[in-house]
Amino acid sequence: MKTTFPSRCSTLLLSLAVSSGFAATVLAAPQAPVRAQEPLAGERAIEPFQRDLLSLAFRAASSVPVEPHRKTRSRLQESVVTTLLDLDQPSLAIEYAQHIGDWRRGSVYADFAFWCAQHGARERAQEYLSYADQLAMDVGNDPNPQSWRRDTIRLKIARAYQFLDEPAKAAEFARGTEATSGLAYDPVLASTAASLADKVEASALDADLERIDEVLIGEASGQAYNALVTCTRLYDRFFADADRRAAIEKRIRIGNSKLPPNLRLAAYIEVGDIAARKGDEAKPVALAAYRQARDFYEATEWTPEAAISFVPRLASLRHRVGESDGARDDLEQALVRYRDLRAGFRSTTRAEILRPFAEAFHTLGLDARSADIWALVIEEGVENPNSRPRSEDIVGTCLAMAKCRYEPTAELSARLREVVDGLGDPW
Amino acid sequence: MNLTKSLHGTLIALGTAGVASAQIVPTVVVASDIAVSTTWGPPNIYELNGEIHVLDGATLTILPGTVIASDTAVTFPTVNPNGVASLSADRGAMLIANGTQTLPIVFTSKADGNTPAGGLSTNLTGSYRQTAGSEWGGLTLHGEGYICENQVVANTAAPSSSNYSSMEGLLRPGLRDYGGGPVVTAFASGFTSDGEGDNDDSGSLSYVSIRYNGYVAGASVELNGLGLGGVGRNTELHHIESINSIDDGFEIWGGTCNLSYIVVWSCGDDSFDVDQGWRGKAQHGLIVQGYNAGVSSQGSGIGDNSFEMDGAELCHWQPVTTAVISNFTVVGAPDGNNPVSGTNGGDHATAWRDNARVQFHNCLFMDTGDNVINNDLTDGENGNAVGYGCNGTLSWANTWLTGFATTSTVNPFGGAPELTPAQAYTAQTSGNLIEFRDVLFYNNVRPNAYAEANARGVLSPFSGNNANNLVASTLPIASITRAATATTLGAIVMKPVLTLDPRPVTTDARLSTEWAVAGSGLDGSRYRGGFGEGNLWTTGWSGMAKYGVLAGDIANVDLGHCKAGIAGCPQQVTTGTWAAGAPMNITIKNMDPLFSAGFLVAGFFEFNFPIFDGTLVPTPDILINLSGVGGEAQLNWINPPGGSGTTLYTQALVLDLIATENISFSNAQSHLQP
Repeated sequence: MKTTFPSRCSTLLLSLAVSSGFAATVLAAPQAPVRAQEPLAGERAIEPFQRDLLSLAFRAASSVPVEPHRKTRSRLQESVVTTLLDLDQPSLAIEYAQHIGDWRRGSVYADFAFWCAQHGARERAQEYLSYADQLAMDVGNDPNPQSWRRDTIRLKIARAYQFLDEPAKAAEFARGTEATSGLAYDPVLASTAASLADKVEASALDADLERIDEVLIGEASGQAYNALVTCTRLYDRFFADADRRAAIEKRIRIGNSKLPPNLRLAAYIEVGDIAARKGDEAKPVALAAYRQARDFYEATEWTPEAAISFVPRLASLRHRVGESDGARDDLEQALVRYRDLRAGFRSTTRAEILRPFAEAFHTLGLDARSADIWALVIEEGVENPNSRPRSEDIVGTCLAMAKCRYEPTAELSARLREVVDGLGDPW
Repeated sequence: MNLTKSLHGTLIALGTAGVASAQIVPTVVVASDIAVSTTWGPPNIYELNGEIHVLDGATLTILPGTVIASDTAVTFPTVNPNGVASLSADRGAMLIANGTQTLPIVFTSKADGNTPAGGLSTNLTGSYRQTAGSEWGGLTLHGEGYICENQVVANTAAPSSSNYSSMEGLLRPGLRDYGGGPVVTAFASGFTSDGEGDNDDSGSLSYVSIRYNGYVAGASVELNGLGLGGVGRNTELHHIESINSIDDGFEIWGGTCNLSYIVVWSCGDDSFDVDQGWRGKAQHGLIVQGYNAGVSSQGSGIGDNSFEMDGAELCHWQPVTTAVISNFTVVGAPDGNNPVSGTNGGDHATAWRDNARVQFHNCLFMDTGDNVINNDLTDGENGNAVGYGCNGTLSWANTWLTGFATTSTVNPFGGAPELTPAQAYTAQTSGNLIEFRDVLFYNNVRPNAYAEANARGVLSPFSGNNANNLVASTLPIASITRAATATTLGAIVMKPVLTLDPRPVTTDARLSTEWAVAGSGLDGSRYRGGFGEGNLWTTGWSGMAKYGVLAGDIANVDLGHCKAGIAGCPQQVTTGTWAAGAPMNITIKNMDPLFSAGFLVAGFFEFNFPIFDGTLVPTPDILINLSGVGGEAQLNWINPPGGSGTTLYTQALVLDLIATENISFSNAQSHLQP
């Protein structure tokens, strides 16, 4: 980060001495060059409707006025860019990233660099890590202590360097950042930690499990969560080996006991989903996991939103273990409960609660019912009279459809566009 | 929203260059909630008629110079079924109230005769009213950051996005919390529509003065100056003042918001009260303890502690308050008749409860009514006699001895997609969970004032991570005057502060040994207390400065934005009269002694441009070479003729071997030429 003193100082002195050019010099804010990018290996084709949805989402995000909603606008734009990366669309992601007007541009540059690192584009990764670093430096000082913004970027830079097998640089960027606070692991790096599980050799598994035991049995912290994530990945990899699977499952149970209930339930469901993907032979394991999750859900006291919002995930798992009718019934019953309690939910949360239902019906192959719920999601999203929450909801809905590969009906598409076109005062 | 523009309005006198005129300032009565985003601005005066909520999804934007003045006669429930006149930005709503250094936004009552009424800055003759308070309710923000609250049955001891809490003091019938329960409104990390949680964005407040407010409905059911519930770090809060709140000046429950440049004057309870797992930072503050009106009991009209720090709502729950306070000047309120042996003054400078972990750096505590550090031996709300060390948590002594990265293992954060401890506790970046470093004490004269400080090694380190703390023998600030005779309020006897100039005058106050390092989220101001040598950041916007109680200096306003180098933040000190033809001297201190060189950048506008890892405040219209020796450079000039009424902005950029980009920045100043 730090350049050689004479060269940097010379640059500054020159800049200052030539006062007529001073403003031009300082206005040269770091930004990735706008140029034709070479296609990246790993870029995957997506359906035209997905691209349309992502484009619509970015249009909605960019319609949010800079004043007074600069932060909301950038956050929504960032959410579109990160979804594009999730869908392996780096070219469009970096194109959209140029439009982000604050520190979040640096954040998505670092995300882009991580994606490049994951897909073997080392040179491009390092180029964008450099841009991200420059933006991290320029967001570091405002009237309020807001160094977390810079640190968010720096941790993402560290994550990318970790993946590029440059641990010294990773440590350099992680050092001193707020989010690490000196602890050995940080959740921003969790995906890296989990990905390392993919490299574990079967012969080394027992030793690795012992190390995981040390973390799980020791202090419950971010390390424990990372260990749990690692165990889940290992559970997937070594599923076919019953003994090893049992050993890993044991660690998951230990780690899980330290989590708050919503995370415990999520972990139970994740284990079930993994088993369900393993084919018919694994169905009993998946079914047992589903029942464990269901029992835990029913035995736990939830807030109304939480109680309703977990049903789609449970129902999707139930469908995968072969109980599709029951899954559908679960969803319908939860929707009845939603309607009963709707008045008590904030208007800005209703679409967010309902979206997983639309996705779950799509997973169940009930696309007509899914369309009904998507329509409800859209209308709940415009219940609030203000365009700021409306834009948040429509962006979220478009991204959710794109991610779950739900192609909206012509009617839904038209309504989505109508909502985006209607964004405006009052914000 | 039901807005009624009063035909009667408010008559204010305009006097400019000897020409008197008059203008009717329209009053807009706000009597219903704000469901649709709206903007308030001058010349209107806004009168809150009842408990007004900015509802979920709506944004209230308030423009510079706007006055929100409520009518005390219709403020309270006894006469107004619409609730206490107050403004609440509910969860999911946003309040964007950004005033300016010369045109602040003022929340007050109609009895306040000193406001920038209508944005015209003409209603500036009223005096400070020491015994006024509780003339309207208060201002509250609800966010989505993590909180710790055991009173809600469904809440868990470990942090969860499902946990929530209700905002105290908001009592209007008919509202309900998001879970459908009986409470009015809630803050929590619950369903974060933006997915941000602790990064919650509840809006932006700057250059805001909140005066003569507060409401006490019952024990712990009170409205404060500014209440921040679960407010996250993406919310911008700086240059905010609370005057004569009948309860706390600022009260923060959970969340991660950061604050800077704050003033609390004569609140009726704790000046800075934190609870339920606040995990933020506050830098640059002025606290003056005292009393106002109300029911005249300590905690409801009479000042209590300067800092009251509760860790969690139940001692072993999480999150637990883990924070940093830096560069505060804190003036207590001793017994007015007998400061040494009398027990009828204000309470402690810092009161500690249920596992709170707070680091105090670069502060000044003077005139404390009781102890500078006090372990209250309670968890605050639940009657436990042991605040620290209960149910497996760290003991009081061990909290001082434990490094900042050792987060509690009792009911911890569980991990993403919630948070890991590392993500949740980000405010402290070095040292121990509790520590005092570079703190100056003066005139704390009660017999046991330093007993706990000594026991914890604050003044003669034998344990922990305390360092560079001093007890001054001479007044470290420019001046303070108190009333000659004490005021008796029930059992309390105090001499209120009549005038205060908090600028440091002694070497120990002007220059600290350490400063906040880069990456700590704090600037590297290198002094003890809230103000640098010759600098006031309160001028122009602070009510106490406008009342003439707090010193003002329009020719040298500190705008902050320094960036530390090898010797901390370079300090810009300006002397002389900023007038046409007058000689001026600008001294830059704390430069890298290897070079003692840089440039003074002067400009006619605020630029606030991010560059070289810092913020350049002036437009770069004039560049003047700075060259000195020993880490200090001076610049003398004669102001050119003319230019009356213009403002010049200055800031030094200093060559520095260790600063990022090898450039450190001094604080910026604005200079209004009379």
